[in-house]
Amino acid sequence: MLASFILIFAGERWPGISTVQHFLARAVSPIQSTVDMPISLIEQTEIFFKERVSLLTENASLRQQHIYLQAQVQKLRALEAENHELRELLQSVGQEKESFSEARMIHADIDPFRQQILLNKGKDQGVEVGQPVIDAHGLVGVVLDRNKETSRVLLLTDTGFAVPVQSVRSGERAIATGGGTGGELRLNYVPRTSDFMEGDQLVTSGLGGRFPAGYPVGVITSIQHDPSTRFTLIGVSPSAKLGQLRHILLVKQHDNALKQEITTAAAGSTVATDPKFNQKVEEAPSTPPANEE
Amino acid sequence: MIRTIRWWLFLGLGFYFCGILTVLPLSDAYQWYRPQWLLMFFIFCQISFPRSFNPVLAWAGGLLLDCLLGTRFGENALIFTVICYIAALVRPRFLLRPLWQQIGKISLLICLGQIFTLWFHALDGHNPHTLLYWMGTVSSCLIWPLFVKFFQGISRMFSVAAFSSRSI
Repeated sequence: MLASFILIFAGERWPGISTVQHFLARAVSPIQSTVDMPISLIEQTEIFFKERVSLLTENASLRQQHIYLQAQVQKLRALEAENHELRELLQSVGQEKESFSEARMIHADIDPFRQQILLNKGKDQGVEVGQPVIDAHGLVGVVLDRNKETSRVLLLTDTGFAVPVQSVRSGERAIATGGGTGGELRLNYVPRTSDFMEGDQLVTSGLGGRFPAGYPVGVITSIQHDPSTRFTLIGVSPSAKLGQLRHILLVKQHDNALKQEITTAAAGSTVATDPKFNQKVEEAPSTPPANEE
Repeated sequence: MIRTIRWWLFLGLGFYFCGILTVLPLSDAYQWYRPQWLLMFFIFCQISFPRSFNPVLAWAGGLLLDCLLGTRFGENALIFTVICYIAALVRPRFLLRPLWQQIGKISLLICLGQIFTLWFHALDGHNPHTLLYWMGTVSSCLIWPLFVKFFQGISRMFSVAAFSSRSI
């Protein structure tokens, strides 16, 4: 019992414990693989026996989508080049692109009270703790822990999750936290005078440097003004399709991009994030960095 | 020597089987009704094989479950140790009782385990806020007679039943 108490309350501080944890996680990984195997097999069989006609239709639709996206990418490239040029004119730090790696979700129910999922990629595939995870629609969460071949992702609806967000419409900033089992997010400590409206799209603001800026987080679904408090209660529905996750992308940020986001963060903003990642509360610099004019 | 190997095989297989049932994907509505498979397995082992099984093994199993579920390291280990220790204490009287009373005692043990789990979740701010949380205890009790019959069959297959002084 004493050993358990020590592990629970002080285990995280001992580096040796994580090694034991990873070793034990490898020992139980066959259980996760066994659970995932039949579901993956059914999915693969379904794909194999899919009718040719439906495949052709899907192919045609995907081709159209591909052309459309290519056109958009071209436009973005032009904008990116222009942006880069403007940054050079301002002699600011160059913003690097993020790189992505694809991963697949392992079908295994882990702790039902913590909103987490398992991925089929781990340390061997270069997954790092704290890496943001996205799907085709928006931010999914962040890598909480990694083993040799699997990693655990904390979903953005978990109560331990926090992400700095920004309204696309008004540019207003706030901190979104997970709402727990309800599958929603909340905006905390938002003053009544703030400019948020129902239907506002929220994206990552990039403050704190943990999440790259501009990824969709969710849409505001409810705004309640409680007369007993000084703050507004704002509910946010996540953009990512958390119930239909299958293939997701792991985002790898480059240091320059991180530095850039931190240095260009709005003055006076405070970012609080999940303490699990040893993040500090960062204050935006009141004076511009030396290399910015 | 062979008996020992057979015992460890039985224990490993039981853990593997119950581990699969613990992480088997279920829809959100049915999550609450999932029995406490591993806790039931360890209680069964503690009651059926008191000479071979002890709370230390339950502690090790709890650590493995923590890694499987991603819970706080040591959380399930503590719960399993306490429950198995209590199961070892109540075992002599437990075996003399009729089935319905045995189920009643098992429900108390599993409920105690769920209380501990709830306490740990509350510490993390993951309170379930629903009475459905306790359905895990109810489903565990309902399935207990079948569970025991199944693992008694398996233990006979592995010829480890001789380790038990008395069967349930």
